[in-house]
Amino acid sequence: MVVVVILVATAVLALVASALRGPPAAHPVRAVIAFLAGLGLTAGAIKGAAHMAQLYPEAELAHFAARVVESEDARPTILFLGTSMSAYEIDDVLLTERLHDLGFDVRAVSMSMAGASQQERDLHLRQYLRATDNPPDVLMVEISFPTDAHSWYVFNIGKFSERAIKQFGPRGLYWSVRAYFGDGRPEGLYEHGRIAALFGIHATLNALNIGFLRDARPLSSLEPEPSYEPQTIVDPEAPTHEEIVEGLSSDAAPEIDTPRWATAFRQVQADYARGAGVREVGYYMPPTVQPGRRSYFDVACAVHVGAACISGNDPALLEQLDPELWRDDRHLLEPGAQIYTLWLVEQLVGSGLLERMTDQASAAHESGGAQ
Amino acid sequence: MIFSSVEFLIFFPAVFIVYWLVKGKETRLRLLLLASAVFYGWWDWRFLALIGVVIAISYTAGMGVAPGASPASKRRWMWFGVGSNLLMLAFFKYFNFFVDNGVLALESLGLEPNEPMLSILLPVGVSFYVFQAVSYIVDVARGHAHGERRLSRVALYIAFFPQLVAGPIVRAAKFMPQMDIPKRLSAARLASAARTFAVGFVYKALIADNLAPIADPVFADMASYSNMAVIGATMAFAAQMYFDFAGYTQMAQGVARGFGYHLPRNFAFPFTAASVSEYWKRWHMSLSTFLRDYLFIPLGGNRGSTAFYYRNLMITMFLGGLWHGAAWTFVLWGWMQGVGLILHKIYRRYVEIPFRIAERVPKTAYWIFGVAVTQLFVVQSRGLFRAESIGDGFEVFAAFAGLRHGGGVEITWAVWLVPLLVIVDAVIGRRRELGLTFPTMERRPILYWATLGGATALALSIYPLEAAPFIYFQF
Repeated sequence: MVVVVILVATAVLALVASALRGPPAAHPVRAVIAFLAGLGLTAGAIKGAAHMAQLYPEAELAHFAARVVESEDARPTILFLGTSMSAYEIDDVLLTERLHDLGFDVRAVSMSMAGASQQERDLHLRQYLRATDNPPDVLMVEISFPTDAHSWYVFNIGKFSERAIKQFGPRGLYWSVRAYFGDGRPEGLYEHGRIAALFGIHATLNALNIGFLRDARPLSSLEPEPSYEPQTIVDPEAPTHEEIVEGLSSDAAPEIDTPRWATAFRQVQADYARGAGVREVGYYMPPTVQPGRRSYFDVACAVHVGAACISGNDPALLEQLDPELWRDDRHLLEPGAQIYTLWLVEQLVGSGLLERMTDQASAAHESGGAQ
Repeated sequence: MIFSSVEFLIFFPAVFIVYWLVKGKETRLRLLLLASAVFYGWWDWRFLALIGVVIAISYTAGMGVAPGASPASKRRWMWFGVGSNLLMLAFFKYFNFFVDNGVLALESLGLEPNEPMLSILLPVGVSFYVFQAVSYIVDVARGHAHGERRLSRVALYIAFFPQLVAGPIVRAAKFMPQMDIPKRLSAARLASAARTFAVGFVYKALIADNLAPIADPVFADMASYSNMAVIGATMAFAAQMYFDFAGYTQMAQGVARGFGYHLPRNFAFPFTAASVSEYWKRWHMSLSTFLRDYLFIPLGGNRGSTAFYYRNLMITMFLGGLWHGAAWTFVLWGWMQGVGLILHKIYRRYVEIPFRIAERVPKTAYWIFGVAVTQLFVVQSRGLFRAESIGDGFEVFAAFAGLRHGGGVEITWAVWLVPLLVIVDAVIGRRRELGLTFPTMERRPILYWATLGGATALALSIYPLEAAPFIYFQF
């Protein structure tokens, strides 16, 4: 990679320097148009070439995807796509072992990352599905309250960063703008202006591929990494034990109405996944202390008719999650994550997804063998 | 705020647009001063207090040494101005260094001194603007510049943001008259400024910042790396330092040009120097000439005996080394440069001239030989400059001499492509001297601008998002 960087740098240096004897004067409008045309065409060519060569920014999610993309493991796969709630709470190794003990020869892989917005998760899911010849049989997508509520959620994580810029490709920008003008709009004139400006800057930086070639890699060249991050330290701002007990035992209406943009986004994502070979798409949300967020999932998932919905808003689960098992109001510590993972196994088994998965995989295998 | 950062890419256009929209020389000067304060205060607002004191001292001393004052009064004001500025530099930059070494010296004598603990914040660019302040006072005293009565002008001369934190070190006689020249925005000016900035951007963001990951791990843990890795990393660092600093200078020149100001040249392809003397005429030229005019010549220069001349050279280069930082590696590096200069003078005097070597040996071969020897010296000394300790610096020398252990971690073979960058840069930069003709685009403006746009797109695609600070900011 360093070779490429140095050679490109040399080429750029030569280009710029050889152009030093430029015109003493030019019509400013023509000069600007010519400059922008050169800039746009080259940036487009870089993007196109990178797309064809399946080069992607070296991001953590890509490392997680690398665990499955080149795997020689032929077992049916169930892929979890989520945020920190999944990254901290789904122990996919334990999940796979437990499923195996129950007689399901399937593999569970989590591709989840703290702070991952809808757009970021979708971007990496598409990159992964494009790169692999062996798509997952089941895709489980986390419905995350804060990322549904704001299409500019990424700006809470980091502005002008590689993570923020990469999300504002044409698709990410489309969904962000659709939410901005729809039911995901910011509040107040200042916020409107700020978010619009940030969209514009990030989309421009994305279009210019800023920093892209420096870290771009094919998925197959990345070191596979697990996304499970067991948590061992309680957050200093975690709610008190009493607040946790009260939160877990309460019911409340959803904190917000389900944004239409988020529903449409998931629908398009599911269609794409099915088109890429995924057999079933389901939804889930790990538990939270806040009752309004738990019930949000129940309402948001119900819209996706026919899809499996595994809600963390289950009294049988919540009863097991003692206050000392919480890292904060949305995340569990490691022992809590183990409890949630084992509960998730029961839900997967109960949903009938696994039977369908293994049946379909067998059928596919047999039809392949018959040919 | 770093020129290659996203913040600057927002800050500069805003200042630039307002600058050319407002009318009136004084308003523009005040705007530049305000922008300079924002630019410098962006690092840490407390830095503004120090630069404010430097400006106040220099302004007052400049009035004191202006024509009309008695020679005795001038002398007092000059000592006050120069002394106060240098004392501040010494305190902020060298206090802990002197204390640490004083404590070590006392301990070696068997004493157990209590080390005074002071946590001193090193203000970015202090070495540069203090030197500029000194230059102002001395030039006014010498009659080369006039004592300015308007505080804002002295302030802008010292704090002008394009060159505030890493030079080039500008002389008052060259810079201050530019404040009174009427300025007009023209397409030619804009193009020239953008082109200069773009070349600097390429140097810094693309080349220097991409060379750093090759050199840094080796210098952080030299013992683990092989001979060839140490040589390669030293070479990479030498190139990184050039592209980083020359890049900063070009960007500073481009930004200044955008406001109608000219900054002096600081680099002239130093990797093509065929002697150490020539190297110092091509590397960090504003510092070399500063040291020559305000230190070497006042010390006596090359007047007097040969020993006296060599002594002056050694003192100048020793202090030049110390100016770079409060560490023995810099001091030793400066001393090494002095030795290199003296060895070259001796060679010239006793070998090259008496034996008429330059006439007998084919010119090109002699030049290549000179460049090879000089750059071997320069690159090795850069290893000492970059080393974490003097011990590591000697590891670099040992690696070049093949005296280190044979094994160790290797680094990417791509490092051997680094000289290619330097060669391409020098060939393009010195093409007229070399008689090379590159395609000119004077009659194809559309192609020219489109090419520049394409080059910019390529450059942006390998631009590191986390802009690394310029190496010379620490000095």
